[in-house]
Amino acid sequence: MSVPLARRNVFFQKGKLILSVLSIGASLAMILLLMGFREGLYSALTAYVDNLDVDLIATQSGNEGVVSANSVLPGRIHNDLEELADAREAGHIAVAGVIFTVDEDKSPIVLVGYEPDSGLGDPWNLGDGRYLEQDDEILLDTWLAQRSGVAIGDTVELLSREFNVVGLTKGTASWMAPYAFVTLPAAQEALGLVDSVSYHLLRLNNRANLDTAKDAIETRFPNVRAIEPDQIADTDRRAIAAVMDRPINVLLFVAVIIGVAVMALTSYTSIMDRLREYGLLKAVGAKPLRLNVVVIQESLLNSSLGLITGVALAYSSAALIMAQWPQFNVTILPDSVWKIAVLRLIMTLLAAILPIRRLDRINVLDVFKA
Amino acid sequence: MLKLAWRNLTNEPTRMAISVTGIALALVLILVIAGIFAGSEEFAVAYIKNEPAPIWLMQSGVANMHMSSSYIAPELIIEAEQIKGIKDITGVLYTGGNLESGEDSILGYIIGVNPQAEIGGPWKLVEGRQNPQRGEIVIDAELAKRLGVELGDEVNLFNTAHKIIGLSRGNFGIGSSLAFINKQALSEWMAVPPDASSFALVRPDVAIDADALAARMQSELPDLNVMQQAEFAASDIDLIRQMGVDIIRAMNLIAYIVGLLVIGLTIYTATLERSREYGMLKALGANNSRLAVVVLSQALISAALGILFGAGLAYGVAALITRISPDMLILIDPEYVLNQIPILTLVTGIAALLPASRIANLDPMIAFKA
Repeated sequence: MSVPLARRNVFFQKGKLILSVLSIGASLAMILLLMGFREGLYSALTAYVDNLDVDLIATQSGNEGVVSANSVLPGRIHNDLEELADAREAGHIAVAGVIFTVDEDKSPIVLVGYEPDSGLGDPWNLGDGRYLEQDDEILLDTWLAQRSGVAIGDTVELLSREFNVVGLTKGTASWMAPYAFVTLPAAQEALGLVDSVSYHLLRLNNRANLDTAKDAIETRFPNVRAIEPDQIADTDRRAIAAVMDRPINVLLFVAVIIGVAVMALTSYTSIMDRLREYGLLKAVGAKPLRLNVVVIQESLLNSSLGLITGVALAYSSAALIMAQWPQFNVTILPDSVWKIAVLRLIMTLLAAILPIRRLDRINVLDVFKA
Repeated sequence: MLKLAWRNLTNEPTRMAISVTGIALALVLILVIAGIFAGSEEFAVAYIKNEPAPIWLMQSGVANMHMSSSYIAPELIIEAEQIKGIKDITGVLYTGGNLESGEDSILGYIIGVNPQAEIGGPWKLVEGRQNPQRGEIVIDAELAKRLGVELGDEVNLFNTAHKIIGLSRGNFGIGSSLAFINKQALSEWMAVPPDASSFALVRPDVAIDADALAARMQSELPDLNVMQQAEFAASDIDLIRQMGVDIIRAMNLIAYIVGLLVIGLTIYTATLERSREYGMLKALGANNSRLAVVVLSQALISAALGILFGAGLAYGVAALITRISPDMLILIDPEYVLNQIPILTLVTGIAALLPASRIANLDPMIAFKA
């Protein structure tokens, strides 16, 4: 029966084991958090479109995003669109990026103007307060309000107009641009949109065909594109990813290198601690391959424990980060965990190179030195 | 004691190298994140800083260009032109848009400039001409490379092919790429009157004091916000800093934890390895505090080398990334590097606690065991 050498080595020193596992875990958690941050950023920015609950969005051709584009369409085509699409409900919204300022505190926000009567395009999760009734009212994201020190009942200024805060929304925070909602006429006036809107929203009758509705709209109005919300969200994601992926990938790359260094350090120090014992094994006939297998097994065991710790650390850190900084939506997908598990295997093998090379250089005679 | 600490560390150079690399990479992560934000500030205000306009006009309630919207009605520009002491006012339109070529798409800001205007367009042209007519565009030379296009080629913007008539320099940054097209064409796209503007650039007459003129303009134009160039640029920098501050804090915290664990792991294993020697010193009369100084010295030496290596590496990484991807300008402020030293020293002190407590509990008799 073979001796489980790798397992014994790993569990021999409890203090070192804890430090090693925590170090590897922290490195893997850092990678997972960065991936979660990236995913969360994109999902937070497309949260509005994801929750619109409409069948089609009519947008200016060439401006097929909501966050990443500035569509302008005439408001007067509203009835035609409704008829062409055989829609049971239609609404329109104005959307623009503006800066919300309270004292010295500045936040870029996505301002949405919707029609309270239709309810189409309204916030999907009202935390506190009530929905809009008047043109001088505003709904703010909960985190934005907290950060700016604003509460329900306060008056805020936006684009030189005063608005009463009547409600606070949830699920609308993002460090890039949280959402705020006003009535469509208020948004049109503030943004200088004369008889124009950004998007027309359409809920079709059950019997209506989506493709037929799209064709009818685009044939009648060549400057208009009728798109499903998923496609708009996808366009926004791709547009934001084209901007944000590069810097995040640089950070991910550095984080992966840190992870490899930490694993290598763990594995290397473990080998160095037992250099005499490895030499003894070599002296009694253990083949280099056998020793290499022990090193890899040990590294794998350490990194497996590190992976479990890392995933737990990542999920708990994500929860802590979102509690402390609600503008960060850290979404750790199961898919990311799988990717990290595979990445960890590659990192482990890379990290084992140095200790294996060190083992190859052991002089068996050193074992018998005093 | 310092000599002993140094010997302990350098006795195993590979372990020391891995450990120093781990600490250095944690610092690289901290510096690169802050550097990305600092670099993006530069690009975000490049247009404001480089246009020769000491005074800027915008919609009342607007004080930023980045991630913002502004609308100035034509009559307000006419009103502004009546004020004495103004050489000229150049209105520009400003909106977001996706520049596309094949499968590549880059989200950027589109500036509509009047072909006859002396200012408002690209400030550094490297090839071709500026002042775009309808269907023409000026883009940054690096952006052209990214899109795989050259002077005379076409890019798609708002579903319309635009011929590249000029290549500029200095306006392709993360989240703040600029492209210049014909103002009238953009006004049609934005559904605003051709004489409307988003922002207006004001040049005072010679011998007119810009400060006094700006103050006079603000009092005579209550429907507009009048800002001086430096104030306007500072407002955008302030916005980006406020956006970045929390994300930098969150990422730094993670990097500090990783650094802490790497230092802790290194010093702990080095201490374990030398348990006999420490026991010997204890048996010879060295007290716990002297030995703790050795441990702390090892930690501080590792951290100091890690910081030195990390700072150098961060500058190297920043230069390399900016060379490979010029839109990702990473600016590392030497003061920010120095600011990390006290924090990392504290982290190092904490990391030395575990090995120091191990030594405190060490039995001097260990030195005499077989």
